[in-house]
Amino acid sequence: MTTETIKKPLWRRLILPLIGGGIAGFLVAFGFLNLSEMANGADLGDSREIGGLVGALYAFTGLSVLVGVLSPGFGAKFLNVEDADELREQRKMLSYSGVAMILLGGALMLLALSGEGAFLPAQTGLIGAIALIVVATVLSIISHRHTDELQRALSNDAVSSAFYIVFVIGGGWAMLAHLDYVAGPAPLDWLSMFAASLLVGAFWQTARRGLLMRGPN
Amino acid sequence: MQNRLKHYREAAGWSQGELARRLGVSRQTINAVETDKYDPSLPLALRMAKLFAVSVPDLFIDDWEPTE
Repeated sequence: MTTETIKKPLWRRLILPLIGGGIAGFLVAFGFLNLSEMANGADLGDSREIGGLVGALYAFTGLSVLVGVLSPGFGAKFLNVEDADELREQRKMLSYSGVAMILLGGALMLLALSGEGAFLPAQTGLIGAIALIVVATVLSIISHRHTDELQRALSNDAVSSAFYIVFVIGGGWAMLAHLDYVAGPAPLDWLSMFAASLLVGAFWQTARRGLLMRGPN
Repeated sequence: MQNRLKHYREAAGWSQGELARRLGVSRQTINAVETDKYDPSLPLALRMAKLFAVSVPDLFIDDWEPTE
């Protein structure tokens, strides 16, 4: 197992993930918005578009993890790992987690495209989303069993941060809406906030511990 | 919290991966502890100390002193 990593300048370690992430993010957003227009033929509205984009971001992140697991050498270039061996060592945990993220993202995208005025009937959206969330939850529990104490600590801190983010953003929004300053958040906005805040919380806590820039990329 | 984990690990001739395997944690955790990015739980700290046959204060450095 490798214990030493070659130190590269910060810009060289950042440039590939940043460029790759930027291009991939653009393609994901472009793909979802085109899909929604093809499906509906009309504008879905901000709430559904943002929900779908957050779902697409989840699916893309999960897919990136799976690509990394299947091809550790390539994955180590863009994922936040020490080296390719780390992806091999954590293959089980990352595989379950990656699939769970894809399913959760799929559930959010499905909900964004379902209901009145959207492409899919509400019943289809409900059944599909519940099925995806149940399977994702089971996989997340299995993945959790393969984590160690650092990963569990990061996960707990991320959830804690996510709560505060939702409390500030969602709570602030609800407060202003209650006083009739702005329109209130739609139900899908809450789901998008929960999902997005968890991603932000995970990045925040990883960065706070100085673990965001570990890889050899 | 500063620690001497790397010192004891290298003295034992183990890689981070080998120590991780013996302790039942990920290599990521060993790396994070050695670089002072993560303070392990008390059970893990005790296991580390036991593995190297030292006391926890030998392994983890805390400058705190009681005031009285």
